[in-house]
Amino acid sequence: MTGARPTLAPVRALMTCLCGLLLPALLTEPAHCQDAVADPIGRARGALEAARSDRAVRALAAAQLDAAEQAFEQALAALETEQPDLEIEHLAYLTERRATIARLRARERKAERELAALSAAYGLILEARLLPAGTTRLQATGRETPAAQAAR
Amino acid sequence: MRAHDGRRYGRLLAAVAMLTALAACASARPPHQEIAAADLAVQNAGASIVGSLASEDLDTASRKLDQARAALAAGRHEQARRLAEQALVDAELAEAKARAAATERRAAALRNSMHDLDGRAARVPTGS
Repeated sequence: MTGARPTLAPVRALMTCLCGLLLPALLTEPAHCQDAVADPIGRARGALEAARSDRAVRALAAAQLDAAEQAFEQALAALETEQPDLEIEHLAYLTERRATIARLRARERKAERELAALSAAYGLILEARLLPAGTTRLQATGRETPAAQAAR
Repeated sequence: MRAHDGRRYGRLLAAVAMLTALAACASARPPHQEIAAADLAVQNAGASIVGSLASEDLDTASRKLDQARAALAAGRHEQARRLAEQALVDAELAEAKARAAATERRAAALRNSMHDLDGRAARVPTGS
């Protein structure tokens, strides 16, 4: 009876060690898996925040920003309803791309505005350079101003 | 008796789960619309970004569109839908990138022209 105790002690110690090693592994694995999914969501959130914080994007690419917001909402809903990782990653990818599209659209609109302003200024400069001094454009084209017509 | 009922209940649950899974697979409709939309976006982007820096993005979109078609042919509808949606957004991004770059180039060219015009005006002798 008493002789069995020394043989069981090492087994118990071994079991305790194994439990000590296995338990943390079992506990940490779900968290690790969650990180794998949370990372695309984190990247999508970052891309969206960057687009949102840009005033030009909000003003000039509202529709594109809205599309990015919707994609992100879908990604969050997929995460909450525990849809497959592939679907969550897919929706996060769409969010990132749509946020980038919004920023590009804002850049394009800014350049369009600059182009319009430059074109107008360029026209005025050319007009000023090409016409003789003291000649207005209406005089140069032979057309009278409405005021001159009224005076006559 | 109770154990027998438990087994029957378990089998019923398993059958319901299998039927649900089968129904879910069957209900994933073929993503024809998504593939058509992606195809159109890739074509539009291709027409507007010839020789542009965004051609890499367009290549990605084209590749995903091909993969979406292959997945559709193989009956993998969910995969086909995801690939088609990604191809669409990749094509739109390629086009947006090309358009932004092209408009910025035009603005820069006009700015340079105005600069040259100012330079020439400064060189013209005055008061003679």
